[in-house]
Amino acid sequence: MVRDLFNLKLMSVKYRTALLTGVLLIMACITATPVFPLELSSKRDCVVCHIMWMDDFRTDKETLVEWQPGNVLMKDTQGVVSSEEICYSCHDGYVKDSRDIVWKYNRHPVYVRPSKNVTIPPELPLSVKDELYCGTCHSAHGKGAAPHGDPFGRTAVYREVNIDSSLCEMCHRNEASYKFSNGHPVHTIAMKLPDKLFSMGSRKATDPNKVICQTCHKIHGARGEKILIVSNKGSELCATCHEQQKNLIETKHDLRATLPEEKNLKQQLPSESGPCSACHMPHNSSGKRLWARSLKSGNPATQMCLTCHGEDTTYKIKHTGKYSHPINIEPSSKEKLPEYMPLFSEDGTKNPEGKVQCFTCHNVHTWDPNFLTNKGGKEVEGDASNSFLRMSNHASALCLECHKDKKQLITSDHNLEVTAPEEKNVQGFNAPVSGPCGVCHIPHNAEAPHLWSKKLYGGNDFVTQMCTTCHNNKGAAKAKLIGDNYHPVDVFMKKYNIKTELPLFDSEGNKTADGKLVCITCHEPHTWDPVKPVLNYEFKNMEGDATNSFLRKANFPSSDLCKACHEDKALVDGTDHDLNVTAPDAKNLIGQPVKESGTCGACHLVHNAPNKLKLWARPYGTIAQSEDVINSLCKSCHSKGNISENKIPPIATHPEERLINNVMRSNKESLDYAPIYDRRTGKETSVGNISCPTCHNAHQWSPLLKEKGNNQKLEGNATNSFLRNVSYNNICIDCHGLDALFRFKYYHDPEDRVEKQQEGIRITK
Amino acid sequence: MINFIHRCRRFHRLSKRPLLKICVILSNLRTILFCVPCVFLIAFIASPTPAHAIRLTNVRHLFDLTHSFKQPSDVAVSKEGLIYVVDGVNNAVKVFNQNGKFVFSFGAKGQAEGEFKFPLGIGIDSAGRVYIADSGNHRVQIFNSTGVFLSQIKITSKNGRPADPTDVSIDESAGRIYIVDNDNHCIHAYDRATLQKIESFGAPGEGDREFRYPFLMALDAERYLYIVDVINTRVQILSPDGLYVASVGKWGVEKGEFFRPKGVAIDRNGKIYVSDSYMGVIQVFEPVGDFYSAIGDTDKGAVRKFVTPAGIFIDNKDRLYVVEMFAEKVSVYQIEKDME
Repeated sequence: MVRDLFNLKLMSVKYRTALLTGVLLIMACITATPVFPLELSSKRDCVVCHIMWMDDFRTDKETLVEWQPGNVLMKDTQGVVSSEEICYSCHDGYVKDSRDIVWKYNRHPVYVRPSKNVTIPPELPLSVKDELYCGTCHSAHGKGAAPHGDPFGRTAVYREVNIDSSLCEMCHRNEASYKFSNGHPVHTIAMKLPDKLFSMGSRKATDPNKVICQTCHKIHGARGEKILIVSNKGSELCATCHEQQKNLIETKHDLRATLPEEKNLKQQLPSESGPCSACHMPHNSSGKRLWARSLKSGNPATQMCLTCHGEDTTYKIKHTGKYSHPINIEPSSKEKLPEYMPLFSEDGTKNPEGKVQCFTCHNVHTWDPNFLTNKGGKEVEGDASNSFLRMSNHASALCLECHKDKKQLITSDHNLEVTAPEEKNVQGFNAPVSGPCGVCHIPHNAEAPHLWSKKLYGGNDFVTQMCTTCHNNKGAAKAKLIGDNYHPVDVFMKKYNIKTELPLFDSEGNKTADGKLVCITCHEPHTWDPVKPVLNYEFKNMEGDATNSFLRKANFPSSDLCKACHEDKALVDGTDHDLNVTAPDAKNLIGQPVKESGTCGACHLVHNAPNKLKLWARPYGTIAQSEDVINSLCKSCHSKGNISENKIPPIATHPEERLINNVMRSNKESLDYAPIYDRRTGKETSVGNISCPTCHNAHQWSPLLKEKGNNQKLEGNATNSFLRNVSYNNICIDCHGLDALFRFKYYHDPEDRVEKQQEGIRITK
Repeated sequence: MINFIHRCRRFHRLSKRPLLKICVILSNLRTILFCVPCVFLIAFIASPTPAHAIRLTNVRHLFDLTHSFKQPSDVAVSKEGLIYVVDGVNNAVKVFNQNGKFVFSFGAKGQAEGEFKFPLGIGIDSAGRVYIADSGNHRVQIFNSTGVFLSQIKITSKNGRPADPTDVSIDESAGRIYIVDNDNHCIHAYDRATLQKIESFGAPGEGDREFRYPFLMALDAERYLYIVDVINTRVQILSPDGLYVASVGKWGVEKGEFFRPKGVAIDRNGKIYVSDSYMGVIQVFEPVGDFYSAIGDTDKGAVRKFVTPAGIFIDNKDRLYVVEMFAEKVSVYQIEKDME
């Protein structure tokens, strides 16, 4: 029967028609029935969200919403269950009111493909369009929970656990690896996070002070762009924690005002990025300090500043100038700097053992360290009290933190705040504004080396020009000029074969061993007294003496300063030619007793010498017309009515027509040195006459003993008495042969003097 | 068949009301007689074309209210014709005239008198007093018609969970104020004069007078209370005495069924309008609870789709006000005659 049924030929038309109709009906039913992935097993509570599991869709009845295929338990697909409409259908207030949190403000992007900067792990599914959707992070069946759970057991139904933003970091791996991506540190505790931050919507981490993604970002209900908890267009969020840096706003470093067209690495204008992000980017910055601009190699603590202030930039803003304070150097002071003046390692991190960088002196976020409300402004020229300095440089306090050795300038006449308050530097600031340092030195855009802040004056060497800036007849120190006759400057000591411990300088004023003698070889312009600091400074224009006067060394009672170069001349100390021994009350031409002038200064004035010859400080003695002028120096004292009138040789002349040369005795270093002087000029020459200093070295008592005197008046003999040489090797024997040994002692004795007769030698009795 | 089973269950629940029972029987018979031939029809046509035509109640669009709303939730019209919209996320009530012109608003975010924290529902009494369910502040605030604060009812919950008032209705005859407590799944009745609590009824559950997240409600002319019982996907009808009367709608996505019922309104004929925010439709039910129609789209000749419709209101001019929450507008329609 069954076989017959399938044998169509045997079947009647009636049966065949019935069978065909049945088959067609069956086939039609199969074709018309939608393919449902599940049997009729959905539970109502599941269908609260999984609407497409509803049995109504398995019937032929019209439904008020269409069935959407491909959304039931299909891995990596977005089902209706994860659609925004389903979420909103409960979170619109009737179960939980999330309208404000999720839909009013900004939220994590959905229905977009992930950017190339994130990596979506397989645990977090994308939609069929490879887009992010609610279900990427959320699932009612997920294993995630709020960081600390919830007393009501409610969670944000995270798909994965979200402890300290770990869910965020599953995708945002670059941001999580902040050290490698130059981003804002996360999972670090650097400070106590302010309560205000949390009242703004920040999520607390397991440690409330730990920074996590959700410290700044809010996935739903973000008030700010980039799902920041608040808008950061004015850097409000940054400033919540970085409160001190907030002082930058409205200063010149608020680029919204000063460089409004300059974009950061994200190509954001300052008006878009906010004042902080104009220079700092929280993610993927160019380097240290989240720098948001291109950074050249070098120490970041300086290079960041040079991004805008470098000489090679075209910004119409402050540049550092050709002459600027050096950076990347050891601090000038050996003492530890205060904490508010940090030093930096090579990588730009603070290091007490580091070097001076821009940030050592500048706090780029605060215009005025003492008055935070003072913002300066775009057009305001800064001065020593503001200018983003770490501390007010009023009275040069900031400079002196490092340059402690210059501190004594404050209590000296070189403190122009006191002695020349109207004197201005090239910036137009007078001393009370610029500070005592700033009136002569400015850290940037200086006029000349050594940060010189005044117009150089005169045509001498650079250092002299610095000094004569004030010490000229129209300058602030016109009362303190050096006159026409002064100690030579701008001379190479090497030329004179002089070695000295005093500093020598090159043409730019830098110390160098083979440099020149300049003013500051002898003077330290920042220190009035080289020995004892001035404590009770009552000025002004106090008259100095050989112990102070900005000298590098005290020159009395020991002639230490002069000795530094003129070592052989300093042997005069303690001898009869030291007026402190023999005539302490005697005054030189400018009225100084030896106590003021110093031993050297009693006879030589390095400045304002009335006499050019040997800068002689005393009145020339009277000499015969035929006598060498050099002798007039000796006769200043060794003449009647003067301090050495008891030491006047009865006769001290050599026959003038006998011109003598000292070619063989002109070497100053030689023991037989015997100088000959030009009769009129007094300068050393090789042919002339015998004069006092030919035989006498006024600075050394005994030719055999290169030592100072013993501060006692001595009666000399032929072996000392300031003679240059012992008698058996003096210049006399050149002409007089060994007889000179005997005749010599009669040189100053008219009785024994042998004068030349017209016909021969005549012994004068 | 599933549909049929559900109908039987409802029939069982309606057994205490003979008239409604007869209606249900007739309705089910009609379904059976209609559905059986359709199975064969579908088999031959082999297409997903709807087998049932749904009666449509046509409406004519008048205008939309938009005034920088942020997810508004409910709407009510006073006897004077002023339209009050609860603009909850903006923490304000915005008032419009009958032409849809903005008149004034009141409220701001906060906890003080006259301030709101994400209010949801609204009720207006015959004197024009405005009652706002200030959900986030766990209270109902009462204002005069111009938005001047009058008084408030601080809602206390019986089980310790903070009260979550989502809507308010005023039974002036009984001197009662009914307040929906969404999170506590119950209704509170307060004395209108003393503002003291009279009673609370309802509990979490699926039975009669039990709720799962009740949301908005309406009061008809005979003082019957219609409460949208959202997760139970029904509108429960309670008598003026607070007794269970009937349920409207059931779980599903076919006509007469709900997935996310949110708002309810009663027209002058006692027809019950229920919005479904997920399905985006407003369905109309007979006073006895049977499905009557869906609000139609005249142009398409199909069921009209709204964007997350929530609170709805029908005024004495047969205007239908629909809060389209996610679209952040209130659309206003004139209800017209039905079409099959």
